[in-house]
Amino acid sequence: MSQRTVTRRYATALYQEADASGVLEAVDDDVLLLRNSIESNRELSRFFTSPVIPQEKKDTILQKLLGDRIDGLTLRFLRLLVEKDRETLTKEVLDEYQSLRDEQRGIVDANVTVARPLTDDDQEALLQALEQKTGKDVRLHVEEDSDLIGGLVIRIGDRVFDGSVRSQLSALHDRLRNATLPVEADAEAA
Amino acid sequence: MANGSIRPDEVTDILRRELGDFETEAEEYEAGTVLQAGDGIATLYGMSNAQASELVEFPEQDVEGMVLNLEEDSVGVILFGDVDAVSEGDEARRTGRIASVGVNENMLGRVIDPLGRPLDGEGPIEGEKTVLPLERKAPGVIYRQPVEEPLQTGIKAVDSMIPIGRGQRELVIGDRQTGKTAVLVDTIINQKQTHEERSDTGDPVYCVYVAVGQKDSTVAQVQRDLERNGAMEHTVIINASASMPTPLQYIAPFAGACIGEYFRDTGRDSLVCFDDLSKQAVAYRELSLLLRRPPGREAYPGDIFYLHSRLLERAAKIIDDQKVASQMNDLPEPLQDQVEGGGSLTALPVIETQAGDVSAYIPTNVISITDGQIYLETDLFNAGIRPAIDVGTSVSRVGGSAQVSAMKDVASTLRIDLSQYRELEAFAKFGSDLDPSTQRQLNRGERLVEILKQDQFSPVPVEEQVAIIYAAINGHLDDVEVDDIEDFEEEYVERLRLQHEDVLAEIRETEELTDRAEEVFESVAADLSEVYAEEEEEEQEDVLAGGDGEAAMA
Repeated sequence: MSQRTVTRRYATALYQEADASGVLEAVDDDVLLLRNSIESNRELSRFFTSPVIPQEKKDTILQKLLGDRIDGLTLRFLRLLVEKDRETLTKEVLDEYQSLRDEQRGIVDANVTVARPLTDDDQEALLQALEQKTGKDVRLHVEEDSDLIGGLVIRIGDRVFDGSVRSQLSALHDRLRNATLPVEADAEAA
Repeated sequence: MANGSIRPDEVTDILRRELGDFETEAEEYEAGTVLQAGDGIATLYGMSNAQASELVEFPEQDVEGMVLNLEEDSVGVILFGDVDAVSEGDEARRTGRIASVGVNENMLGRVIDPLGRPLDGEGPIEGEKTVLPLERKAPGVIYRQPVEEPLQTGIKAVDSMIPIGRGQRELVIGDRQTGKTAVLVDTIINQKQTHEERSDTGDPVYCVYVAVGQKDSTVAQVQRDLERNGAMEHTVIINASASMPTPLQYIAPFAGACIGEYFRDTGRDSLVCFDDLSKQAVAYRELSLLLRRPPGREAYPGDIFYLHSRLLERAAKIIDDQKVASQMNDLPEPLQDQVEGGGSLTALPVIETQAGDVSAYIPTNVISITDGQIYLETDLFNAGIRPAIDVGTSVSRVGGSAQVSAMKDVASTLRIDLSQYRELEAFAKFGSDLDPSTQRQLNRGERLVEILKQDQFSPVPVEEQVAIIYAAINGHLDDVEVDDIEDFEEEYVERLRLQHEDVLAEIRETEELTDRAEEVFESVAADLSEVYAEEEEEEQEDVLAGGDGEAAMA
């Protein structure tokens, strides 16, 4: 079974259970907290992915560490993952949950790559423009890449808007290469 | 492009003009990421809106691909071009275009790859191209009409007993080295006469020869043969050789069908030879297995039948009625205002059998799809009967109505005579004495087999075929030694050409065997037959005079 299928099933289960027992908000917060923690804390991420730590120990640590910080349902869910030997996928499952919730709440992620840091005004204007274009709430992730030379590349899901100087230069490059001489007006470029 | 006549300021001028026109515009596209690549296929993540058989490009690698598999969260793509350049993590873009090939008249005389790029080193193919999709639905019932115009192959055994009509699909099947390609090449060469400025040979037939998984040397040989016989001017060769990526071998027959359809839908006649479809099936099996589609019989995927049936269904005779034809189903946009009725696409697919086994999977499939088959046999080939056509198992299911009536008249008993001969031949092997009538039938059969032999690259016009078969059927060859029949045939045709050109022309034009023609054939054949019979007697007398009784009896 592909990893995606597995993570989607667990994420859907968590969502439906949270919805049914009315703790959706709490679980949302927990997922956000856990995702941030795993991202920022290498120890924690290693704890989830390491196959060396025995199951019982993971279970105990989970309870001790998170027992009073997260909702009971979230904790039970994490322990279930451990029990089913799927705790190595914790991060992916949480990500999947997040995108599931985003989809429901009409939030899209926009990955923006820029050559130079955006000013706050620019960022605000960009956000407004994207929200208008997509008709959804946009969560902006800005990345810097000086290879772009100038302009920016926006990626929302599968769609890419490429307004970088780099790609325009390469388009110009192709165009000049393919230009034909008038003497051979109807000959195609090699 | 570098030749001495280009001045630097000219170049500057162009560069400036190109720069002036250049507009900065943000590109918008849908992208995916390569998860896995290799063996001519790639699995992409993302690209959730991709369509089946859409073109996908890999801009960094300058490679294109075609979507073949749409799965829940990935897309399976077959790659054209430099397969090894694409690797994990590369970006892929949707193009929004369906895989297609640009077709125009200037392709005639050229060797191209399945994407329409020239392979013969004679520069780009010029002129505006009509871009046609590789996968296209065949014309429906109301846009077709019955096959009734003959497609002359110039091969006596085929035109007399297994006639092929324009719009038909006739399978050429046989083991390796039995002359399958020779049948195709001869047929293409014979279409040369339809391009000559004569009104009596039918409309010109444009030919496409699709080579799938063959050696480049073989294809070069075919090209040379066609050139030498003046047939390359009306022929396009599509080459997807054994060393090209498997995806190209898989799409090559579809590209051939595209070019054929261009002629068909613009009211002209075309002939497409697929040499051969067993290799295409193997290529498709490879791709299917790599794409993890479940294997079936002989490990071919479940849709291998559909692969060939949808391809060969595109062979058609289009209805003459201009109004109906212009409403044809699934017409590609660029063809819409060029459509003319009355065109045709004849398909000659080839299947290579293993040790004469026609009951293997692919051969049975294609036999059931086509309107008949020409079966070539190793034993006949080795016995010197070339073309090695096994008349007993070869049939043409629709060509009969396309045969010219003169040929029908003379060839109607040919098939029966031959099959009787084959029966007796086996029987006569037991030696023993034979009664005179059996002896006569054996004699006749031997001579019929002899006149159906034919050298490669020497197609015979239909009126001459009629004349030769007429002579044989009416017993004028019975007294001629089997070894002399080739000479007899040559001399007989020569005499007719020189002394009775008007009769031959008459048959060509009216397609009827008139009484006058019969008389002429009768008298010329009888005269010649006497000459050869006399020679024979003289020889025998000589031998007898030599006193060697045994030799005389033999």
